[in-house]
Amino acid sequence: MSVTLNQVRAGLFLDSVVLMQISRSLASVEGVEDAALMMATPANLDILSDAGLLAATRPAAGPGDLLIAVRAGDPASAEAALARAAERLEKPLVAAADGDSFSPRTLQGAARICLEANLALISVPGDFAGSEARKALRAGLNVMIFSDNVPLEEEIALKREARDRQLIVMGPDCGTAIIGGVPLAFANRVPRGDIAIVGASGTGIQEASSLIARNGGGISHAIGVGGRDLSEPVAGISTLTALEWLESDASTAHVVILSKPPADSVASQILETVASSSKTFTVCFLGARNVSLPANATLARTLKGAAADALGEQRAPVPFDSGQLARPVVGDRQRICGLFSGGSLSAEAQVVLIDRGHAVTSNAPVPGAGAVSKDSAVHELIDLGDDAYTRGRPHPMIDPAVRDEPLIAALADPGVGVILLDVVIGYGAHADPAGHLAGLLEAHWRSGPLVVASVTGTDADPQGWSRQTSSLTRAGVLVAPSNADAAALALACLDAR
Amino acid sequence: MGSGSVVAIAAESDLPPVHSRNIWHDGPLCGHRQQIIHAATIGSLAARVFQCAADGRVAAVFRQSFYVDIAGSWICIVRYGVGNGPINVVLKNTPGHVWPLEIKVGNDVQVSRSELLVGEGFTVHTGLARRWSPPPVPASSLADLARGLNALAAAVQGRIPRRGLGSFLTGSWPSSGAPLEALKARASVRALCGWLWSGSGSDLEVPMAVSTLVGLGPGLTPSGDDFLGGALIALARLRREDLACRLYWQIQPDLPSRTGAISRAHLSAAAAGEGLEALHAALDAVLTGASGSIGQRLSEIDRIGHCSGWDALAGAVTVLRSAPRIWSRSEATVA
Repeated sequence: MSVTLNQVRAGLFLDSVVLMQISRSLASVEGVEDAALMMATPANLDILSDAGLLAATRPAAGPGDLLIAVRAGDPASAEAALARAAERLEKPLVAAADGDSFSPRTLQGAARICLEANLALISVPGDFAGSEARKALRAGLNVMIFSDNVPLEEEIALKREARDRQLIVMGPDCGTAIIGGVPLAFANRVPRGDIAIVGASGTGIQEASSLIARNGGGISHAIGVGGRDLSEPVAGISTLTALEWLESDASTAHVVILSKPPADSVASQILETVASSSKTFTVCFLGARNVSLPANATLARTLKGAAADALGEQRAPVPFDSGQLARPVVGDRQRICGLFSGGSLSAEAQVVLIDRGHAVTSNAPVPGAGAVSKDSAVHELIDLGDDAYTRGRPHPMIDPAVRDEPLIAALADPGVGVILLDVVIGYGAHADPAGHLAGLLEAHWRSGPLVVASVTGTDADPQGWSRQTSSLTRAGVLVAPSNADAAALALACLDAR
Repeated sequence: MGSGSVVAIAAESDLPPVHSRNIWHDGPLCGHRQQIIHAATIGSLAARVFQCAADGRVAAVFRQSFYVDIAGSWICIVRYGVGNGPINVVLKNTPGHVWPLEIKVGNDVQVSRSELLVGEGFTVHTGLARRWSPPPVPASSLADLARGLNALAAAVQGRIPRRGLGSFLTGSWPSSGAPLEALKARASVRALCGWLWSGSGSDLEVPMAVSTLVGLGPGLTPSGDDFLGGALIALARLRREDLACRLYWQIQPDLPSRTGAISRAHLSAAAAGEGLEALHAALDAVLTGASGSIGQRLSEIDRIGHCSGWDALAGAVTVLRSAPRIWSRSEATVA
C-alpha cells in the first residue's frame, strides 16, 4: 500500500530549475514511487491528485505556497524523501552536488548551475576556442584561453568584446594564472602576498612567482594575458584591463609586468598607465634595453631581477656565486646547448648570455640573439615548448620525454660543453620531471658535457622543489637556485677550464 | 599551450577545484560589506516603481535574482547576463560584485527616484540605467511569418523539454505519455485556438476553458501562465492589443486565487505586450522569417527557467499560427 505525504512551505519561492532538481532528487530516494514540488495552485492540486500525489486530506495551501508531494511504497521512504527535501530547501541557492545533478555539457549549462563562477577556462582545439570564449563572455564570465592556434583577428575581437563588457580575456595561449590564491592551469602553489604579476609569459610568471615565494614574498594575483597581448594589433587590451583592476585592489602593493619587448606604441600606453598608478612597478620586457620608465617603476633585465626588485632589498635573494659551484668542462668543448620547456626561461637565459658578451642563437630569439643556424660555435638555446615542437604532441612540461631526443643528441655532441635545462614543476606539470631526467641521464650520460639546471617551483607544489632539486643533484646535475643563475653557472663552467 | 584537460589537472590538486570557488571573492575585485551597484538597464514597468518614494520588502531570493514587492508592484533585480524584461532591473557587471548577494526574504526595501536600498548593506543605483522596452514591432508579412514558423518547426526538433507545455510547439496535440500538465492543457489550448480562429474582430467571448491554464504546471511561474503570457505578447506583436485585452480580462479576475504573485506580475506585464527580451527576439525572428537566427534565439529561450521560455514560446506560436485570421492585410505589411 503506497503512502502519500504532502508538506506545504508557505510563501516559499524557488526558481524553476531548483524545483526540478529537488523533484528529481526526491524521486531518486529508494522506495519513492513519485515526487513533485509545485506551486500549490488549484490547477496543480488537480494534477497532483490525478498523479496520486495528493494526500487524502488536501493540504491547506494557496497559489503562492510551495507543495512538496511524495508517494512511496512505505512510510519510512516517504519520510526520508521529505527529509531530503528539507535538507535541499535549506540550501536552495547552492547548485545540486549529489548524484541527481547533471554535468553540464556546455558553458551556458555550467554557468546556470554554478552561479558564483565568474571565469571560464577554455581548453579546446584552437579552431573552437574563440567561439567558446565568446559564449563565456556573453554569459558574463571572464575568460582564460589555454588553447593556442587562435587567429589573431579572433583574439582582438574577443578582447574588445571583453573590454566592452568590463571583463578580461586571459590568452589565447595563456598557460598560467593565479587568481586570489587559486592556481589555474600551469601554476605554482605560492603564498598570498602583496605582489601582483601581469604577464604575457606563462613560465615567466611561474619563475618570478616561485622566486618571490621561495624568498619570503607572496602573490596577490598573477594575471596571464597571452603572448600577443602587447603586440601592436592587440594593443595590450588585457594588460591594460589587468592594470586597471589591480589599481583598485587593496591587497596589491607592487605590480610586476612581464613580457617580451612590446610594440613601441603599446609600451607607451602601458607605461602611461603605470605612470598614473598609485602602485610601484617592476617592468621586465625580456631583452629590452633603454626603456624610459616613470618614477614609480624600475626595469629588470631578467625574471630573477624582476623578482628581486619586487621583493625589495630586505627580502632579495642571496646573490648566487656561480664560480663556487662551477666545474670545468672537459676538453675544448665550447658551446652551451639549452633545451628549455619554458619559452620565457629560454629568453631569460639568452639575456644572461648576451649581457655577458656571448653570441646566442635560438628558435625564439630575444633582441640581440640570432636565429638558429648551423654555426656550431655559437650557443644555442631552444624553446621546446614552441608550436613547432608541440604540434600534435604534449607540451614538454606535461611530458618531459619530448626533450629526450634532443637531449640524447646533445649528450653525444662533442662540441657541447654544457647542457642547460629547466625543470618546471607545479600544477599541470609532470609528476616527477626531475626523476625522468635523472633516469635518462643515467642511461645515456657517460662523460662529455656538464648538465646545469634549475627548478622552477616551490616546496608547496605537488612535486616539491627540494625533492626535485635533490633528484637532479643526485644524478650529477649542477643545480642553480634560479634559471638566470643556471645560465650564469653554465658560462662559469666554460670559463673554469 | 595546447588543448589538454587543464581543469581536470587543477582538480587533482589538493586545492579545492577551481570551479568550486569564486576566484575574485577575496581578490582585487572583492566585494565589500556595503555593496553599491549600478543598474545597467531598467525595464519600462520597473521604472514606474521608481517614480516616487515607497517602502517594500524582499519577497523572493533566487540564484540569479531577487524580487521586491513595493506596495503590490513587483520588480526583479537580476544579475548581469540574465536579460532584460519589463519588470527587471539588470545590474551592471561590476568586477568583484559578489553573487549571490547577502539578501534575505523579508529584508526591508526603500525606493527613491534613483535608488533601491535593501536592508543596510546593498544599494542599487538606477540613475544612469538605460530604459529597456521591447523593440518596435518589425515589418513583416504572412509570407515572412510562414517562413519563420517553418524554420521554427524544424529548429525545435529534439530541443523541447519534456515537462511543461512546450510540446504544443510541434503543432500536434499531446497524447498519452505526455506530462499531465500538457494533457490537462489540451482542452484549454483547443478553446484558445478556436477563439483565435473564429476570426479577426470577432465579438466571441473568450472561452471560460482558457482560464484553466492559469496556475497549471511546474515551475515558479506555472507553465500555463507562461503559455498565456506568450500568447498575450504575441497578440500585441500582431497589433491585436484588443484581443490581448479581452484575453487578459477573461483570466484576470481568477489570477489572485489561481496563481502566485510573481506569475501575476509577469502576466500583467504580458498584458501590456511586454515580456523578456529573449522571448521578443525569438518572436520577431519568427515574425520576420529570419530563419538563420532562430537556432540562436532558441538557445536564449532555453535559458529562461526550467521550461518557462518554451512554455511562453508555445503560447506565442499558438497565436502566430492564427495570424491569417486575426492579422489584417494592412497590419501584416506595416512595421
